[in-house]
Amino acid sequence: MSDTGDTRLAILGCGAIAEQLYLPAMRHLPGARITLLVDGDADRRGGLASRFDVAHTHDTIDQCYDLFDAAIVALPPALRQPACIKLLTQRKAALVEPPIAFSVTEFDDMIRASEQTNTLLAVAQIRRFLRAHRFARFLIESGTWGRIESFDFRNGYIDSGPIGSDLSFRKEIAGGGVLIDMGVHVLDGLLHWLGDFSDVEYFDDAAGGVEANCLLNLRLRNGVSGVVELSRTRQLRNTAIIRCGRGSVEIGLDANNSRLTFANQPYALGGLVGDLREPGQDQDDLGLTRALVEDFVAAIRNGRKVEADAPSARSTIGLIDICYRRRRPLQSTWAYQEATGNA
Amino acid sequence: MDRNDLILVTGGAGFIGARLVEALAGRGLRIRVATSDFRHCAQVARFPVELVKADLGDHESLARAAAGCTVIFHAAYRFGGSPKDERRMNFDGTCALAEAFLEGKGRRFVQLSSIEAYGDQRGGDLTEETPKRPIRGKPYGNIKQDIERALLDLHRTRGLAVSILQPTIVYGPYGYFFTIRPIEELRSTRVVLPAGGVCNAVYVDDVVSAALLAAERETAIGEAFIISGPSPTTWRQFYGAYEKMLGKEAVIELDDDQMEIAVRRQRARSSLPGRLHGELAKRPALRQRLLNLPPQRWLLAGGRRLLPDPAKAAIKRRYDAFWDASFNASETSSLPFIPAESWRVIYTAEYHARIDKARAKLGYNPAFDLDHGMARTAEWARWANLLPI
Repeated sequence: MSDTGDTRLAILGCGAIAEQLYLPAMRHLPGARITLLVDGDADRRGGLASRFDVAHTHDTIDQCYDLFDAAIVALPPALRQPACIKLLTQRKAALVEPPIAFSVTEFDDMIRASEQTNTLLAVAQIRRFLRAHRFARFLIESGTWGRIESFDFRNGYIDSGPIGSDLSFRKEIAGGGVLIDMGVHVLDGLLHWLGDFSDVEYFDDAAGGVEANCLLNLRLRNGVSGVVELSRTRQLRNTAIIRCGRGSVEIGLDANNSRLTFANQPYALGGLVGDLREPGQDQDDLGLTRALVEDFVAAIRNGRKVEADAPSARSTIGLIDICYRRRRPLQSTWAYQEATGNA
Repeated sequence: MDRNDLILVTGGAGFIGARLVEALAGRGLRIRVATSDFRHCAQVARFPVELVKADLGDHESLARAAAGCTVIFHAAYRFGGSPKDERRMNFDGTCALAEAFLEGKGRRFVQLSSIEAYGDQRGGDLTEETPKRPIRGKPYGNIKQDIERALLDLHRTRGLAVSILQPTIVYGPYGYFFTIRPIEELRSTRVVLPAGGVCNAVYVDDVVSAALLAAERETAIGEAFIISGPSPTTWRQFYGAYEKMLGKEAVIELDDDQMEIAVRRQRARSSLPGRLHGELAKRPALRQRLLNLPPQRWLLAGGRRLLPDPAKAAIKRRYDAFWDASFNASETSSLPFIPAESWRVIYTAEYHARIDKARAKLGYNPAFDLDHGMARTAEWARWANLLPI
């Protein structure tokens, strides 16, 4: 800790996530401050350090362990697992952007390192802080809407996200396409609310590169089945519909919208899921990031459980891993076909 | 083209460029995709391609993208800015790319141009021999004309192995101007079309087939080719295909006189008093409150006392027309969409784009008539959530 008693945080990786979310969200965060930026690009880390008033920068953490107490890992996906192992070995708590690993084997190495050093490993599952997600979990766990019968999750945007480089499209760096990138959030919510999976059929449109669209026919351990569809090229509904015995619950996957219907009734109830403690206020990305880091810092300082600890991410990583191994092509009748009529 | 070739597709994340990448990947070729914005690359990143950032305004980035490439398909075009900026970006950028290609001793440079390079053509047969005409108001066609001229000059003077394609109205999966845009227009409202216009439509896969032929055929070098579908159709039929997909009739065909009236009405509605009138028609309570305001009444009383009778009558007519509530809200909200003048020029043209030269010299044989192409487009549009379920 610093002289002021603040938790000193390092950010590993100075890409768009650090610039647009973590650094602005952590301005004036009580009990914590960023003391170190680590990135291979000196101009980039230097520029961000002066903009956000960060005291130290470096191209590697190896000589900097004295400068921070815990780290936020926002590196490209392929670099996250080895960086975490390093941090945990040095007993530095880590909050890691998902996907935190590409396979269960990689993931288990991280858990082992965390357990052996008794050091916190948390996953930045930001959507778990959405009120709509918490509300959905409450409705499902409380059984208010009755027994779950099926589910239907669709998340997709055209050309979404700020991509300053091609890293998201390089399989060896990103680990895959929309399944691992967007799916790691959607599937986390699904498994978090509804329980672990037992079987999956998986289809995607990768043809030697990374998939832009994918479809999962998923069966859960409790016997409930449903579909998950993800896209980087289409605008989808962007909600989860969970059909239950007493009606259905529709929840925004990355927003606080909701719609409740009642079995055998023509009525529907919809709107933003609010919080009575903060009436009239919705949540934005910066607010959610702030809540995520506050939760992480509080866990370090007070020893309480984080919202998304690493073991809770194991099922999602396992599911994604199985999907890629069982991959079947997504059929499209409109794909280019070589014309045969040309002379 | 074979595995020894490194193929550059500029604008490779765009409509035609991405489809071309798909075709090249299907042949197992080595592909480099140049893009100015990685956000648009999800579609092409499905294939084993090298993505590089290049901008038409940054000639060094173009040279880096072209390095080592034996074939270039140049499909990039940047709209926007002033006409001068647009020209500088696209004309200078294309010339710089051609220079880099010559320096690297590339084998074939395929320029994806446009039928708009012929300018404002009205009727008759349009062939590669048809004299090009300048276009007033829109830089796109003029810039395409100039680019074609410059590339053919480089062919004559320095042996640039260029082949130029001039596609007509290209539609198909992921196309914006002639697929997504008309679907969205028809889905949201009724669309006014000028009667009788000819639509030289071509399905995107036929354009891609032509581009592949242009890269391979020796007879393509130093030539320009009009690329259209098997036969022209009308704009009514073209939009009719989208109406069929949407399951609604939403096209209103108007002759010249009716169109002129409709345009005049639209202009009046979009003027400031017209917009105010429209807004007040939707809010009768507000209209009544404004009418009851004291300054309104003072103005009316003063006007009645002070103005001569003819002026009083003229002002009264305008005043009554403005406050008249007969123009009701439902009428305002269901007004049909009238295309802008630049689009009406396209919809009223009656020329027939001939593909005889492409058939003879390229061996081009379009595989998709309108029914076939639109059937494929409908399957994609349904999947893309553009059509009602």
